[in-house]
Amino acid sequence: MKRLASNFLRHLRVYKPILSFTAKYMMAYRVNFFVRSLHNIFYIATFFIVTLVIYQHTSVLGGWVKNEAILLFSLVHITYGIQLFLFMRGIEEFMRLRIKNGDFDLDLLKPVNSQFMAFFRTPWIDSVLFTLILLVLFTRQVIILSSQISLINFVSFMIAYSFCLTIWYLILASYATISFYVTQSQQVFYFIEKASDFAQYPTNIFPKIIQKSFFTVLPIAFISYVPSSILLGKDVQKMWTMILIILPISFIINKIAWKEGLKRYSSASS
Amino acid sequence: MSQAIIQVKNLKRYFKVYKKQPGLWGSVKSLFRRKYETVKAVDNISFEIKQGEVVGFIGQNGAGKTTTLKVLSGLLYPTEGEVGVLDFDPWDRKPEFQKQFALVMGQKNQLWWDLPAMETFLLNKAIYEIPDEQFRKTLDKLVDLLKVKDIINIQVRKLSLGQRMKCELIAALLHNPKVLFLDEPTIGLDVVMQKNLRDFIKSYNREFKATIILTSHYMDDVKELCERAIIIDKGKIIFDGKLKKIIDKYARNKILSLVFSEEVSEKELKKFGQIKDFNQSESRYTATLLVSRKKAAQMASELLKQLPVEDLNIEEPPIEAIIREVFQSGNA
Repeated sequence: MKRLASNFLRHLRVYKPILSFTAKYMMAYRVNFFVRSLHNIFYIATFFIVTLVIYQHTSVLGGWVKNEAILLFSLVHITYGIQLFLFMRGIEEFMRLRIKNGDFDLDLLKPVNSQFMAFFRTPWIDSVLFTLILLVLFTRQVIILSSQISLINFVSFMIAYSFCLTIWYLILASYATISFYVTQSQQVFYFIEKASDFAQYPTNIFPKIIQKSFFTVLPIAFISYVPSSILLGKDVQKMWTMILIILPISFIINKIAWKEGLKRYSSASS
Repeated sequence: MSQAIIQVKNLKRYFKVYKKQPGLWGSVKSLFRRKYETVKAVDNISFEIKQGEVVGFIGQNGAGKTTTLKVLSGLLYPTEGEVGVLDFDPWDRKPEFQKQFALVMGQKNQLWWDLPAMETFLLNKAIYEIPDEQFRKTLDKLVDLLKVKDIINIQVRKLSLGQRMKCELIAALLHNPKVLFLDEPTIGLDVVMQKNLRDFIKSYNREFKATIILTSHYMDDVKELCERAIIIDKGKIIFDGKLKKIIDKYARNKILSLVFSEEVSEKELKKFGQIKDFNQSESRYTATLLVSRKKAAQMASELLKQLPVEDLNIEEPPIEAIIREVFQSGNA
């Protein structure tokens, strides 16, 4: 446990300058920085409008009323913001470029976890703005729904959410290891990214088979549906069971996929 | 006798590569069925390197030099064989091992393009957990040796290739690696910059007793830095020993440079060996002959007897010419 903590702190120390350099870099190109931030806000606004339009035609969707759905929606995009900030750009670059060009060599040479170095090396600072806006929306929804959210639910939600984010990362990172076998594999990434748009709606409105896949092969339910359900006290036991089953499985899959992938890594010719 | 710091035994590294058929139809067919072939990048090589040695890896493009360095650095898993560097299995990629070596690739850079090199140095300080005092001292020393004080705070993209390479070296050496793998570090640099880097590598080796493996297409790098050379061809080692011995093993001829006091004919000269150069001006008559090594002394004596030789010089051919000949003749 002590070793784990010291390892975590060590990676945090490495992450600090990475974050600082990225911030300096992005601010050096400020027009890009502002345009991208606005683009993200515009993109999310369109989805928000769609959600509002749906609820103009119905009051309940899969047992979720409008305010609950907005909470679910805001949590989805908070997760997107966090994943963009932390690892999404790193994974995309890894699948599109770094394996193909052999630039991954430079990550492998460093005395830190190679997966960390590959995926967390390019934080997307411009996701901070829209994440903050959505955090305000999320807080608003929590206040509106406070009558059905107990303190225990909230604490339980916070723990569950960190586990869910971990599951989502572990599975995404496992998919990224396809790059070790197939040189041009970024389309897999774009497919998952697109498919994760479904996370904006309650998972239980989809057919059973799709629901199952959202908890397993494409675990987008963990992006928002599972933690939101826990927060709102819906099927708490079932949600926690899913988390506790999928978390260790995804951890093992990630570990094996990365280890085996590294064995297959062939770099690129000089 | 110091202990071997790098041990390689029967190392093999094969790659499975997709063999594309030519043309559009070939591409269409490849969507459904593909042919693969195995490329033996490194094929059963063995060698040992002792602490403080500077070894030159010589070979043509695709000979297996870089692949060997990548296996030694733990970037690639070997297909077969045993490799030990500083008593570690490189592909375990233990941080204790990674903190003791560096791989510098002339064609890849770790510097952050849009930021000054100093920022990358600071990142490496965090990654390699270099204490403040050691970081400051080493950085000062390297900056001084490479004379880059004025450029480390300029955006990397605004630096020249040579300046970038110097900064790359600093980034790679900040943690004082005991083993240094240099893969074509002088590629693309002008001759002055090449010389600067060579001088730096020499002094680094002297000062830190670092073990260095160097690959380069420039024989000057190898000649000036390495006492020992390993020649690799099609994944196999064809020579491993002192650089001077390459001449004994592969040079078939010696070069006889001649100055004559009066005019001689080409026909007369042909009897003694292969004419490489023949110049006759009004006041000076010179020629260069390639003569079999075994007969060089005898031929020189005959030349002195039979022709009006004013000056005669017997030389070994340049190493690069010998190596070129080795590869071209398929002697390897």
